[in-house]
Amino acid sequence: MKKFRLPILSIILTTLLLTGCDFFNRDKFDEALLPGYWQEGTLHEYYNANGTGYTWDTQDDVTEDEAQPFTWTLSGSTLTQNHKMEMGGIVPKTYTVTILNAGTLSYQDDYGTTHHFSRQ
Amino acid sequence: MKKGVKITIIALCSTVGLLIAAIGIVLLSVFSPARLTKIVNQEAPKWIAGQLTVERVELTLFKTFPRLGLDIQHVTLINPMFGAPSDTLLSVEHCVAAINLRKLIRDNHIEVKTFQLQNGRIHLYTNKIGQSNYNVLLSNDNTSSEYKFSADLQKVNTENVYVHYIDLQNKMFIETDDVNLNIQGKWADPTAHGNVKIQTGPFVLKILNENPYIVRYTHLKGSFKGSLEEVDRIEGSLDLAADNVCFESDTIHYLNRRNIQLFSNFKGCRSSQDLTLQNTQLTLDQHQLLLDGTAHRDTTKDDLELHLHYKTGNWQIQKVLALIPDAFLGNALDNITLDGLISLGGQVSGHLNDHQKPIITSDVHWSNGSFAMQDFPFSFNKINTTLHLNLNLDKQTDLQIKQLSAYSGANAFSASGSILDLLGEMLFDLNLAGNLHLADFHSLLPDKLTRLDGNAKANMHTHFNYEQLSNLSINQWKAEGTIDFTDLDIVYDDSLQLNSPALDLQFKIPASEYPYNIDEWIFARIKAATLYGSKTGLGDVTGTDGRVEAYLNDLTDSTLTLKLGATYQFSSLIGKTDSMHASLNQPHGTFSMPATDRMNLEYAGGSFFVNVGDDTQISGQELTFNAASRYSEKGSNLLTQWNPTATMNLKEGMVQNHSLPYPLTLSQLQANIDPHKCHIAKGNGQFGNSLFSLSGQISNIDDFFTGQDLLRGTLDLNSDFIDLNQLIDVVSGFGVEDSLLAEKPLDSEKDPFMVPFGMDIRMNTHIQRALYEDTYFRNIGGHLDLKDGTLILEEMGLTHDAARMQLTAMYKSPRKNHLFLGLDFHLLDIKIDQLIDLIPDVDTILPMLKSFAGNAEFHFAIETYLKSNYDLKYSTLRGAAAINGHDLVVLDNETYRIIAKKLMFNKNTQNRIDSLSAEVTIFKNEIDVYPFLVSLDKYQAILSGRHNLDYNYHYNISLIKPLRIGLDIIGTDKRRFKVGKPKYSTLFRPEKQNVVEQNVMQLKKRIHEALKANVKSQPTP
Repeated sequence: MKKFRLPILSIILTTLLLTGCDFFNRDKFDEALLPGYWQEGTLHEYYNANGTGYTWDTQDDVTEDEAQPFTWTLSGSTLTQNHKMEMGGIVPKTYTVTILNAGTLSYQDDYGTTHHFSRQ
Repeated sequence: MKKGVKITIIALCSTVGLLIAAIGIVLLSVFSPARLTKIVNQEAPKWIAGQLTVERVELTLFKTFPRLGLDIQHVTLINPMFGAPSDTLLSVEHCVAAINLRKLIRDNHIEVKTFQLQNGRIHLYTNKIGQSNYNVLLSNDNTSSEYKFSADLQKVNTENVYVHYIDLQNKMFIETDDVNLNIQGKWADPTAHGNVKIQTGPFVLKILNENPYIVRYTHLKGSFKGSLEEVDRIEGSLDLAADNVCFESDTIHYLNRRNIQLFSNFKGCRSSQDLTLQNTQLTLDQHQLLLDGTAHRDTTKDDLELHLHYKTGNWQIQKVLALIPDAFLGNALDNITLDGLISLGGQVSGHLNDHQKPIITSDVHWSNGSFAMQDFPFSFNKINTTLHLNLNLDKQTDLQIKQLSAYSGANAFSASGSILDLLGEMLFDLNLAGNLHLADFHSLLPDKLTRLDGNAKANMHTHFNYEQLSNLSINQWKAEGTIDFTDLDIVYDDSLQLNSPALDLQFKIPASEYPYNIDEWIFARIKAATLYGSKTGLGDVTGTDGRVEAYLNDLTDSTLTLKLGATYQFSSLIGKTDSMHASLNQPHGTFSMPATDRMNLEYAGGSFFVNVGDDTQISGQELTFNAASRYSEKGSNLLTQWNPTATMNLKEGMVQNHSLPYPLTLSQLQANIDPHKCHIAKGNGQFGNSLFSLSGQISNIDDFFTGQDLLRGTLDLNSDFIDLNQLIDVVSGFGVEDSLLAEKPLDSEKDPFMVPFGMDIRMNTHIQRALYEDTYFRNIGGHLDLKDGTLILEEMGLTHDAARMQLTAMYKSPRKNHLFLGLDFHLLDIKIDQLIDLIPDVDTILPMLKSFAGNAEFHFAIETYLKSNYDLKYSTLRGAAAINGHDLVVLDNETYRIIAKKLMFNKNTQNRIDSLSAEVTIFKNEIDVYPFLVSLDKYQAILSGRHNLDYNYHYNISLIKPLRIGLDIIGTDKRRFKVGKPKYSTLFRPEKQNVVEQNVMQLKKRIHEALKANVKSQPTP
């Protein structure tokens, strides 16, 4: 049995290493918590329950009425925003949600860009 | 003298004296006073009906020399009559009569030769039924006297006789005193010749009928020398002078203490009722009237025929007016000052009866006259005029103004002409002239005319009647003339100014031509070498060699609306405002306003030059412009109310602006405009090297302004060649001052280009060739749409040697500091190096692309909002790009060598890549390169990563064949290369894709398809 201890341990560690991220990513967040008005400094995001939303940044002198629309999906911890352009074309943005509760929304992307919103 | 003759004369005289003394003694002894008194007292009752009392009668020779006479002294004749104020008819101290002594002695015939009354009183009375107390003489037939009585008067003389006469039948009262009458003549029946001299003291005549009046004077002196035939015809010279004559009724003083003189050589006939006057001179004070002529009265027809010439002296008007009773003048002259010397001369000719009036002609001379009236701003002096009056009461009275001149201050007036039918319709036909100082007339004009200065020389001919004058019915006048203004300076309402050193105005009413069919009433022609006008706050305009011919309808009829038609012509017009300077050469044309709701303008001119501000010049060689407008109250704005239509033709126009490196030339521009549409028939021009021809139509203009519809239009832009390099240089930073841009706060509100709303205008472009950088594009066609606040360059297709392209761009300006700019750009089959040269920004989006060479297909969409200074609002930046390459070559550069080394590429590796398909998204400042597969010789790698616009890189190359190894490229300028595990290994092996990879591929697909979906079919060149 000792003969297989090291290979079995390696397999377990390798599996854990290879699936570690997925393991954390597989955290499920309640989609119903996302709709609402979220604000991070001058950045504002509004999520509607029907999968649409809009965002604006008052630092650039943009008002809520002038916000840009997107559609969103939250699958597990993967938050996908599809920003549809007026000129045609889409800009998909995929984030990993790290916190989603009644008062806080935090997500990050693969390049380390993080956002921390508070519900308004 | 010889002594003998002297002695003879003395002796002769002594003899005559003795003879006379002897005769006297004899007569005194025969006709003693006592005897004569007795005879007279006995005989008088036989001849006289009244009670005559004679105190003494004596012979006299001295008083009646050379005849013998009776001096009847203290004669009193009493003839009482009921109602008479006095029973005494006559009471005189001396009544002297010369008699024919021979007839008295031989024939008992008392023939009176002379008769004198001295120091007496006569009281004459006629009662209401015509009985008089002075009818006391009895005829020869009725007397019982043994004497016969007759009168052969050769001299009648009264001295200091008082006469009092009351005639109740005629209600007349006369009283005069100190009557001295001297009549000398010879009566040779039936003709009497002689002289009559009369001098009286105070005289009073009262007529007490329904129109009572009184005549009185203090002294009368007169004489008459002539003859009287058959008590019918009289001829002689009359000379009368009455002092302090008064003539007054109970209410009117016609004359008040005036001296009247009358001298006349006249001839009259009672039976034929003829009167002839020669050298008749009537003088009232110093006012002289000369009369000559004849008068004949036909009693059967109650007609008076007159042929009289009259002439007055120079009468001082003030003194003449003083003679006119106030009752006649009333208060007519209360506020009028009138003076000067006036003289009249003419004739009275014709019949005066119930049916006819004589014709009176008169030449009137008024010299050195003056006229002033209260509240009238002008007083006139130096009035000199010559008038001719033809007074014909039966037909027509005419007045001819031969000459009239007058001054008012420094203003000179003159007139001539006629007034026909002076007493009727009064037809004025006048030539008027004046040299006027306009400032003197300022007070007559509305207060809003702030200043009026200059001189005017006016000459006009007018024709109107009294009714038209009194009613100020100028519209019925006829007038034409000229007014030459010099140094004209007019300011209206302190803001509108008109100046001209010399302006000639010619006018005519009514107009004789009707070129505009506007009920032309007045024609005016204005000529001015220089004409300057200005409006405060607006600018000024100067015209040279101007000529305006205008027709207007009746301006005086308030029920009519203004109609106007005019032609204008100038050598040049120069206009200036604070921001504009315009110069027009040879402008000419017409302007008409056939009704207040319609206007037409035709303009044609040669070269023109307009300088707008300090940086824009607009010029042209020829411009024609025809416009018409019709007003409708139904319109809700100026356009829909005035409904203008216009055609414009511009040749050789040019627009220059300091921000434009090249002038915009318009070889020809033809356009038609109406309220609904604007049609550009031709718009050929050049900008720099670019040629263009613009045509098309803008419609719904009226609906646009009423808000009922969008402004719609389609324009065609055709060009043989467009130099995009020049255009981009011009457009770059358009509207922003480059040098100041960095200094201005980014959040400040600029004035960017704002896209108008309510418009739907499409410009179709057809460009044969276009040059961009060093590349020529061909067959550029597409649309530039202006859609309700959005400017869209839609599906602009173009080709050049390296590619076929398609560009769609969108610009919106919802507000000044929030501008939208979007681009959708597709390049088909383009060389990558040329792509980067063409669009350097591609290197920013996909920096690794410059490591490849070969043909590619590039799709790119990006949009963002901009600040007013066109700075990006990065939070709004969105973009996506897709590039597909085939048969590419990886360039052997430093980066490639580092990567190849890190990934342990064989040195002999072929650097050819069969295909490449990459998708990129731009979100805010993040540029994400989605994984794409590159096959290089025996190597396959997947490239992906992100870099920010600050060039902070985070890329990964996952080598998946022949071995799996990853390389992270991280950093900015000094990039770090870190070997690790590959990020993607099964991404392009669908059967082995995990969920994440599937999502990635799905996103790549969506990005790609969404971009390619915008590519429209484009004909291959």
